[in-house]
Formats: sequence, C-alpha cells, structure tokens
Amino acid sequence: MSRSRSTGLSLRERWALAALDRVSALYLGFRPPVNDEAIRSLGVRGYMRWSMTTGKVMKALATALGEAEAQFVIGFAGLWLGCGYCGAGHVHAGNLLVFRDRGALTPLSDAALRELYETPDEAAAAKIAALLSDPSYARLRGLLLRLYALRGGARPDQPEDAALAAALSCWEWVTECTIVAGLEMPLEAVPPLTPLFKDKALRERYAAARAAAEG
Amino acid sequence: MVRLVLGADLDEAAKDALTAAVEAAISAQPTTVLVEMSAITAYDPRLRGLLLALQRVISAHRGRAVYVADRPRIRGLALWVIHMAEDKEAKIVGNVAAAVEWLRGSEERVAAAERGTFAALARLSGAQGGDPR
Repeated sequence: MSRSRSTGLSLRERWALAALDRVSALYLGFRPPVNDEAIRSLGVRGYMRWSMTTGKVMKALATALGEAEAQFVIGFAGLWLGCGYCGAGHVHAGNLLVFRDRGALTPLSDAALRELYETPDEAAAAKIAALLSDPSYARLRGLLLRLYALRGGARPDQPEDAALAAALSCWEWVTECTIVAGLEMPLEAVPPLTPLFKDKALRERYAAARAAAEG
Repeated sequence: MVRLVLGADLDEAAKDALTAAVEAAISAQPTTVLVEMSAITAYDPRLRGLLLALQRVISAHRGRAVYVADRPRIRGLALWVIHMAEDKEAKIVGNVAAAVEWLRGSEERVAAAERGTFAALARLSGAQGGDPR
C-alpha cells in the first residue's frame, strides 16, 4: 500500500481511473470492480506496476503450463488467499478454455468451488484429488495439489514449482486489492477474467451445457 | 508474543471486551500478535467489524500481527480486515509455522509480495529463456 486508502481519490487519480476502466472494458469486455480499490491502495504508478506485472505473470504461466492450466492455477492461488472474485473468475476462464478446446465440462463447477472455498486445507487436497480423478485431468490435478503443497510449506524442487511460485506470489499482491470486492461476491456472478469474456456465443454454449449437465 | 485464539462462538457483542483485553496485553510495548482463526468454521460478515476494531488496536500499538486460518473464506475475511486497517505489516497464513516465520521478520506484506513476484517472474522467465522486464 503506497498511499492511504482512506484518503479520497485525487482529481488526477479519478481521471486515471476513468481511463483505466475504459481500457479494461475494451480489453476484457467488462469493467472489473477492482480498479478503484487498486488505485486507492497503490496509487496510479503502483496500479500500473501491479497491472502490467500481473499481465506478464499470466503470459509466462500460460507459456509454462498451458493456457487453461494457467487459469486454473491462478484461480486456486487466489481462492486459497480467500478471494472469491479471483478464484471463480480464473476458474471460469479455465473452464471456458477447456470447453472451447476439448468440448468438456470440468468437475470444477461453481458448486465445487463454493465447497472448496469453505473447506479446511487438510481436507482440500483430498477433495481436489477426488474431483479431478479422471485420467484426463491428471496434469491439472498434479498442478493444483502441488500448489496446495507449496502453500503448506513444501520445498520448491519440482520442475513446475517456478511457475506455481510465480502464481502464488503474484496473487498475494493481486488479492491485496481484489479482496474488497472479492470477499462477498457470489462466485457464480464472477465473469471469466480474461478477454474470453467477449466471446458471448461461447459463454452461452458453455452455460447451456453446464445447466444441462447439472440439471 | 500474544497468542489470541478466536472461538467459533465469537460475535459482535464480544467486541468491546476483546479489544480491551488485547489492548491491555499489548499496550506496554510493541509486540507480535498471533490470531488463530481455525476454530471459525463459517464466514459471518458481522465479524468484519469486530476484527477490524481488533486490528486497529494492534496497529495503534505498533503490534505486528499474523492471522492463521485453515479455510480460504476465513483467510479472505482476515485479508479484508488487514487491508481495510491499512496495516502493512500484518499478514494472513495457513498454519502456525508460517505465522511464526512471519513474526520473526520485519517485512511489509505488499512489498514482500511485490518483491517475491519479481523474483519468481525472473526465475520463470529465465527458465523460459526470456527477459522478465
């Protein structure tokens, strides 16, 4: 926190917020409810560093792990820290990618996420392992279980630990500001937090398939 | 170190007594405070006011606090509290070992996360043969 959040936004910061909201809306297709708090807490320069670094981490994770796996890892890093907005938003993005590329619905539904949000750590690993027990999710299962192990204090010595550590550190920084909106937002109300949101037809097909599967 | 174990039956009515007890325990000199929340099994938005008042007492006496919770939603509650209290040194963790480690240091939470992110990104970019800048 580089400035006092209890101080109102200055005129310059309000201008910057309006501009950043417009850029976010163009890029993502919606205005994320976190820019205001991020500028309030970090200042404009801090926001820019926060936002640009997050983009670099997301890109590096996608390269290291694959696009969908990166979104799930980020989502679970955010969820572990208690941010439902980050958790649901990135898992929704991962779910859309899997549905688009493989035509599959992952077991990481909103109901499963709601349960994991309230589950003690010692039981969470078993729940994740059970949810992702199908062999087609073996890689994702391994990544998420390793993420929880690293959070629990495991020594980073596995090939993908560098990527997981980047997600864990970066989302400690990110959730500092997203937690204000992210603590009470219903998980099912969170949009996918990538430009994939703009693909309305995909979102509608996914929602229909999920409703049919869970109906 | 002051160790505060919050019970499952905690409610807003306990606010004054709890903050007074903590204030009495930490007012003599700046100290570290470990707040254990693992007995809180369900999120209750009414706890935000109580915990914020508690954190503000700790911050006012320059205490270094760490919140231990084993459920993500409860960690979120604690993160909300330390963010709203604008206490740079307080942190949330998942177990007592991590809490004790945090209390031993003097880092600020956001600065540590930022530094950790750049270091992790550099390692990751190095492994990918790229430039982290």
